[in-house]
Amino acid sequence: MRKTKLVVSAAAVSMMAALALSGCGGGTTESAAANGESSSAEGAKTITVWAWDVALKQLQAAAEKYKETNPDVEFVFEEMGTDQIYTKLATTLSTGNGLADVILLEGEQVSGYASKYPEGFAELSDIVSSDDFLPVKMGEVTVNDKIVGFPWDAGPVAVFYRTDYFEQAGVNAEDIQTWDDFIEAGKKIEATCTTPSGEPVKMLPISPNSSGFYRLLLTENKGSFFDAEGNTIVNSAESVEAMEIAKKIYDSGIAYNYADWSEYEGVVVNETVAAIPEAVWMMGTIKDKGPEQSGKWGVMPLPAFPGKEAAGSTNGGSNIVIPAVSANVDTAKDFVQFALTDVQLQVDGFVNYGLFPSYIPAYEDPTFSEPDEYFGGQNIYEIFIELGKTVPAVNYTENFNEALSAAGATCAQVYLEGADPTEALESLQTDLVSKFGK
Amino acid sequence: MKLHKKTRFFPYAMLLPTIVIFAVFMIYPILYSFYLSFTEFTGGTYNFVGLQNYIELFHDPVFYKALFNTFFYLIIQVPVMISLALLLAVLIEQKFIRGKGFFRMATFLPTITSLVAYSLVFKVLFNTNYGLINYVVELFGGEKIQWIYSAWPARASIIISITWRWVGYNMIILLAGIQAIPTEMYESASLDGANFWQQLFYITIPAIKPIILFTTITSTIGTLQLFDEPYILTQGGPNYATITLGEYLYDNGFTYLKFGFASALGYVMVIIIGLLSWLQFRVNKEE
Amino acid sequence: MIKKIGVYLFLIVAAFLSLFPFYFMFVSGTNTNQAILSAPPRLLPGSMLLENFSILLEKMDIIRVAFNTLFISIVFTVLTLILYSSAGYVLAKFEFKGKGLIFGFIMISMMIPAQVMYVPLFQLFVSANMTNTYTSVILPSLANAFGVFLMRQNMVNFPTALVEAARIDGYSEFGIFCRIVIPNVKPALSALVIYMFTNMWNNFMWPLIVLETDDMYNFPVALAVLDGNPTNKNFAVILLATAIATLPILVIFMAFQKQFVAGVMGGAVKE
Repeated sequence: MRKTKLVVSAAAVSMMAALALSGCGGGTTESAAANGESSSAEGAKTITVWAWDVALKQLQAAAEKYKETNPDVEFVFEEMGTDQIYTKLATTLSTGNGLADVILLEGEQVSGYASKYPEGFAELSDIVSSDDFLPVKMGEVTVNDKIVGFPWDAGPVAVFYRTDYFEQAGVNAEDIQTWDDFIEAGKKIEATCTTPSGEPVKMLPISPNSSGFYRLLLTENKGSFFDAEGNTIVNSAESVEAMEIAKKIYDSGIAYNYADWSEYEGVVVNETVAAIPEAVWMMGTIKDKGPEQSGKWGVMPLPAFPGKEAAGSTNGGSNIVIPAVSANVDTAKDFVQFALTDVQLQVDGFVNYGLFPSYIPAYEDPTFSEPDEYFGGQNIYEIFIELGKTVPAVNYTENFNEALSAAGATCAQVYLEGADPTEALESLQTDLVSKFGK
Repeated sequence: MKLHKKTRFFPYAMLLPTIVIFAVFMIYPILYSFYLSFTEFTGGTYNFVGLQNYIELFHDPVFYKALFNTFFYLIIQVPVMISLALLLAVLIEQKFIRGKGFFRMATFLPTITSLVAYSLVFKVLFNTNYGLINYVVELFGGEKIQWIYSAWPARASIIISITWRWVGYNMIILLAGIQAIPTEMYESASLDGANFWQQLFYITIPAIKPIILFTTITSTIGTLQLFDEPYILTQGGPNYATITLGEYLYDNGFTYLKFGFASALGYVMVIIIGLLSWLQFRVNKEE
Repeated sequence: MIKKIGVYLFLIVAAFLSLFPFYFMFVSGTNTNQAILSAPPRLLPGSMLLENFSILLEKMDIIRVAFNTLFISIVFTVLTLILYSSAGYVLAKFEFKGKGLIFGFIMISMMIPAQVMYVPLFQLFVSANMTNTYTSVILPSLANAFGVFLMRQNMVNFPTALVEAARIDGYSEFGIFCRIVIPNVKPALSALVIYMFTNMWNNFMWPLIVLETDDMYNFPVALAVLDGNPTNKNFAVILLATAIATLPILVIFMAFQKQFVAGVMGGAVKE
């Protein structure tokens, strides 16, 4: 029976050994390299980058240029979607292990991670000069009075509109001063115009499950989820006003319901709507998905709230953070500063990928005052630049994501279940205060 | 089986690797997250907060919505799916059916698809504006169903998706049980003039009752932990109409970074699952 | 006769509904993104297969991903065969102290939602400096209660008389297990192979957390990354990749499916 025991334990041990060998053999060496614990030549530094989509391509271009003057720096680019980056950040930040050196985050996401992990990201005050960037972007990267992210592309919002539909319905874009005018125009257009597939043309796309459109109006109305001290203020007068306008627009029947990004792109492809109030980056999608619609699009500022001055809004964009535990913080900082303040790179990023810089000196480049043929020769960038400068910084706090999904639910109540904006926002306020304690 | 003294250690030796694996990768995380459920993650550290997460949970309206949805799926989906699985299994086993292997395989295949593949395909199929399902609905003269922005259709889309994915899995298990029933029982029943439904209710179901219980319990556990479908198809919306406990747990842990709260929710789920499994056993025993 | 036709009709509809999404997936890989996103989507094969495939090759190192997935799945499946057949055998056929406790715990662990365990598990692998390895994907998945349960249920049905006879013939306990028991529970083993292989082939959330570099990704993570771009999705390419990732698992299932039903049977009959 001794033999039996021996065999069994030998089997167990060898199994474990085989497992350890087969498993580790493939992985460990590579992970060491990827973590930047440079096992290669002395002095060589490896910068790992997590980013998605076109921003990744732009950072790759920046890295090429950077290597011309810094040949000893190597780059590893990991393409990841936003959801994957957030899932990984949630686990990796808690241990400081397995993080990249340079990480791209969506605009509003910096504050959540930075306030949950106060020591998580390297402070960038020495390389970010606040006056050089749009105020709204500085708000995104400033957490507890520390600058923990580098502002990159901005999302100033205006209204993209179909000049042909407008003309057909006899609507004049200059005459749309307020959201009420916008609704009236929408009704005219729906009554007059039809899409290529024969449906009446809707005025704008709204995703009724999401807080997107309400937040756009909220920002235009100078409101936000939280005040400077982080107190929840979703029941503020600004917020109620924004929700009332959103409801009025939705209830007027001029909105086209969409749920996800591919449907959003679809409204361009199928020429379903006459207007899209969206951030500047939508320009890329419109050109990409509707190449044959060239000359049919124009841009106008957001309609104003009744009795108020017209103002700008913002949506999306991205920022870059550098984990404090990175073995190459200084190199990473140097690279990020170069990639995001080299004017030519900003212009290239904008021209090639529609990444609208938040670095104000870049706007001096003649590219930003050139007319765009696709938009009927209109000089659309100036509109976005001027609007972008008017958007104030807001405080996002660590609770932003939770407030965002709760606000999405509130919007669904208001749009789909006919809830009263004031009551719905009051109950949202109560829920959030009881969760956040303030 | 009785063992000689010499072989007393044999079972332990055989079990050792499994025990080690479960101890390290199951018991340790369970205990650790139990501890986490009494902490709050602030300022980069876990701080002990006693029962605060549990108290907050029971005051959280979203928790109750998630609880309601989860139980709604459970009450509607599990019986529908098990009955469908049973019906399929019984029909495939009918003597005159040719191509049994084909039908078995076809209905089982959905089980083996990966979450990502399945979600992509179903998102496209359920799309309100260009999805094939709504196209078919319109073809038959119906109106486009608002699968995503309307509470009940959204819940229905989740139930349809889970049923598609898991009915074959339960069918195979039930089928295996049905094959073990001696054919003589059916033959004599036929002679006595019992029809299909009488045979189903008086022979098949009583004979495979333990298996039905097994599939019911595993489906219950699966539904109570439901995460994939709402996460992918509806993101819990509209207005939390489709959110489940599993998705709310994930949101809290991985989106809001509230690991303590998420762990507390996890333990409440464990208690609910445990109670229900125990209840199903009890009900079954008494019968 | 009418009844028979009705039954056939029901089964054919069920089979059609089950298979259609697969068809849609495979066919979409040969169409354009535009064709998928129009109403109704195109349901006939198109001519875009090669073009989609070349776009896919640019975006994903499909050979490497296939190797990772295959390697992880095979090692994992082999290990589960060893672990669970030995555990299942003694849990079914031996009486010993602590048996109830061990089996009870394994069963209860089925009730723990996996999401609760990700953070502690991740920290464990970080402190062992083992993230981003195949090992880190495989090891935690080995704590699979269903696998143990399936094997135990199959072993319960194994005739005890055969074991007794072998003992009289002078076989060692381990010899009995290897030479008498294992060859006679092949259907159960193939059921286990299908369950475990598909489980690991489709494993998503944990590999996403623990794998760091794209040369280590398995199919589900690589697909999610492919799908993760918020803008500019090409559904045709994504669905083609999905189809490629699904194909091997279809083959495995076809190869083992005959024995599979019998294996599940042993697992579910007794309890």
